[in-house]
Amino acid sequence: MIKIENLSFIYDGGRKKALDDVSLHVPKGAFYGVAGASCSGKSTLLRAVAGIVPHFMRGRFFGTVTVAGVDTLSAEPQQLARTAGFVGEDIESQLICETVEEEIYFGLENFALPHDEIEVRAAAAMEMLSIASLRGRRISSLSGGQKQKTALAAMIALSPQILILDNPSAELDPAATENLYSALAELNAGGMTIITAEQKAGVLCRFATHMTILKEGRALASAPVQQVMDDTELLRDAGIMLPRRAELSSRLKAEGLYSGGTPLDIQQAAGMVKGIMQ
Amino acid sequence: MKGLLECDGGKGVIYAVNPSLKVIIAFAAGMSAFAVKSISGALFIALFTIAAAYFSGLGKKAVSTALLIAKISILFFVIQLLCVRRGNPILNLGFFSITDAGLYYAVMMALKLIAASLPLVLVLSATKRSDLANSLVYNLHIPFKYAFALTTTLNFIPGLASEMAQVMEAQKARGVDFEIKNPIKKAALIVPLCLPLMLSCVRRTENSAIAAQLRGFELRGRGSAYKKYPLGMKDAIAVLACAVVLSAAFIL
Amino acid sequence: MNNMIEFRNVSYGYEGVTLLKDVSFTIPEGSFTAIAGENGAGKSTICRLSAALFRPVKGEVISGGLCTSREKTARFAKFTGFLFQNPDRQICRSTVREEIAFGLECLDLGTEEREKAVDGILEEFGFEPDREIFSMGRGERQMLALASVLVRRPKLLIADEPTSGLDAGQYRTAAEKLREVHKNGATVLMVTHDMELAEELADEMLVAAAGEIKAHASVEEIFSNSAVMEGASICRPEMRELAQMLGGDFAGDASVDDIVNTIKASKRSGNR
Repeated sequence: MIKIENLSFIYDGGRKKALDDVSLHVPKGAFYGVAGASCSGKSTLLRAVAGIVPHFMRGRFFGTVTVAGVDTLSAEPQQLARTAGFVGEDIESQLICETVEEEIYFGLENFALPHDEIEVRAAAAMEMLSIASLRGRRISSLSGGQKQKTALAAMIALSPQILILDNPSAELDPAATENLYSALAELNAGGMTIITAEQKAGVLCRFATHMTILKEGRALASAPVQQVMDDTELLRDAGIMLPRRAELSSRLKAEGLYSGGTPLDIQQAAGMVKGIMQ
Repeated sequence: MKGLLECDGGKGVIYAVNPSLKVIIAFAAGMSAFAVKSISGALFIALFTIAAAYFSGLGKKAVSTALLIAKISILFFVIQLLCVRRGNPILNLGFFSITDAGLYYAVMMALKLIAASLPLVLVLSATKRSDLANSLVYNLHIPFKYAFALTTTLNFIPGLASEMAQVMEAQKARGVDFEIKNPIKKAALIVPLCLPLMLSCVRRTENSAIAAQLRGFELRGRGSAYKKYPLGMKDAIAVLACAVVLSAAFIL
Repeated sequence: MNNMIEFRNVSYGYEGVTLLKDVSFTIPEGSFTAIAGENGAGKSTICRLSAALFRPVKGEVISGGLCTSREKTARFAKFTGFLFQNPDRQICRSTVREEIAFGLECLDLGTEEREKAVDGILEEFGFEPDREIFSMGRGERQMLALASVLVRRPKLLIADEPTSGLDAGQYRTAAEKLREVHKNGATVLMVTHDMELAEELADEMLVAAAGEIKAHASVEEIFSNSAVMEGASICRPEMRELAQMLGGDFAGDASVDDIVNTIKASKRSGNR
């Protein structure tokens, strides 16, 4: 679905390579998590998939990015938008209308969809993210989680094949983060390919199918989530905060008490301990 | 100031009229208020505007806005009062003297300012940005690019004000004393804060522009909007009423 | 011990919206208190009231022995450091050095003393002094904001989500700095969703929900009170949750070490 080959990018005026020879293949229907320390190139990678880099944010671009068979370098970014919907980190600045309903109509109106379809799609998107009750609300009155979902609904209404999210949990509390990721998992189950950059590896590994680890613009690993999470040394080296369950399993391995994979959620952690105790 | 130009929806005459048309009417009323020759004419326009606001449930807002503009016009009032030399002196203040003509012009100036700006402020408070943009495109055939830029700028003002309040709060927490009375010293404290504010605005505007373009903003045409904005009987009545009121104001 | 902060029947709100309802509590001098609760529970409002950025509609707030309703905010800023959730609101200079120095401008310090403090903190945080702030990432800007608050050596430090958006390395640095400030005698009030951070640093916890204080007790007591935790949608730290799920010998375990030790102990006794 997404094919990135030897991508390097330097922003105009930047000194260092934001991305350095990154290659990545995201299969259709995958839920790809991108993790790394700050300034590791997560945002740049996602921007490249959405065509923002290099179309809106300029710089020196090497390599190729192909999204659903289209080379992003030659495509018009707004046409790309219907294939790959992008929700950036700064939610406030992306919400450009006054109310939730207008925000969701905005894209649908722009692409000149037939009238009856606009309403059907907007209603379905709001239903999907359970924000139908916020429909007439003024955006400035919403909480962080509600804003995040509104931006997401506005994208989903355009029914893209791929959804790209940059650090969606940044401003959310744990309950809202859980809620958002459950909604993403549901979209993914419906066949949508999802790629998210995320600071919190503990959340990511519970929902993603694959993970990519970036460090200083280079991809250290890209593999199914279990495989990446098992390499705790690599995660530490990349400056990623390990969830305590991963620390526990790596301690138990070091003590020679455990030899299995890193538990991805707390049930697996409980299973691991019970297994050792038997 | 909070919520001054924001529309939360409502019922009444001002809400019912076509968005483009009511902005035009408001402009016409504002220009007329400047052009009228008598105090009673300006007063008539101001009172009529407040009445229209009252019947749209905006009475309170109209009065508070009028008072706000009145405060701003105090400066003009004083200058007029002191600088007009014609007419019969009422009071002598050394070098300056206040004359009856001066008083007349000063009152008229203040009233005109109120009557000229009130209609537009109220109309904008009773019009959703998106409706205005869509109607400008639909009724006046203005390209969406420009209509959107115009209405986004209007949106920007409350955004900027709240951003400024937050920046000031953060500096207050670091001991910058904004609670002093001296307005000149206060301004000197605020000016350096404009740099971070401008930077964050530039960043935000860039992000918004990218977000709008990604969602096909440039593809939008005249028929794209979900709602339609046909001109109807209500609009004809509004134009007629406005014409009558403004003519009356000139005669008075 | 004296109280650093005291809330007496405080209510706060505006335009018909109530953000805090009749809240009373005291924060002793030298304590480290975490405030937990959902977004919108009133956590940030409590912080702003404590620093006299907001003034109560009803009741009174005493901070450092002064009533916030009777004194100017600047008076409180002399001994209070406030770290905002969004660093960009706070940063108002263009280079790292200028920004940190600006933090000191409103304190009555001599030039030499000021320069020394700035140099000290620059070294402590490992910042390049002439770095343009505009080119820094979000996490770095947050660390800078922390540095420019700490350079003022506040007696009271109020930190609103000090670690959100930081990567592992920055997180460790920030946590160590907070610990150090507290060790050196400052009172710390920290809003956080990160219960592992609260567990590591704080000794007391305020639990807020819907504009009220639901509990104010030691961190240990809060974590063992499931009703309070659920009422405010707070998740127990992962290892405590795991220990709870496992039960038996694990009851009361709180950390990775505890659990590893319990496993080892039971293996030993099993082999015997």
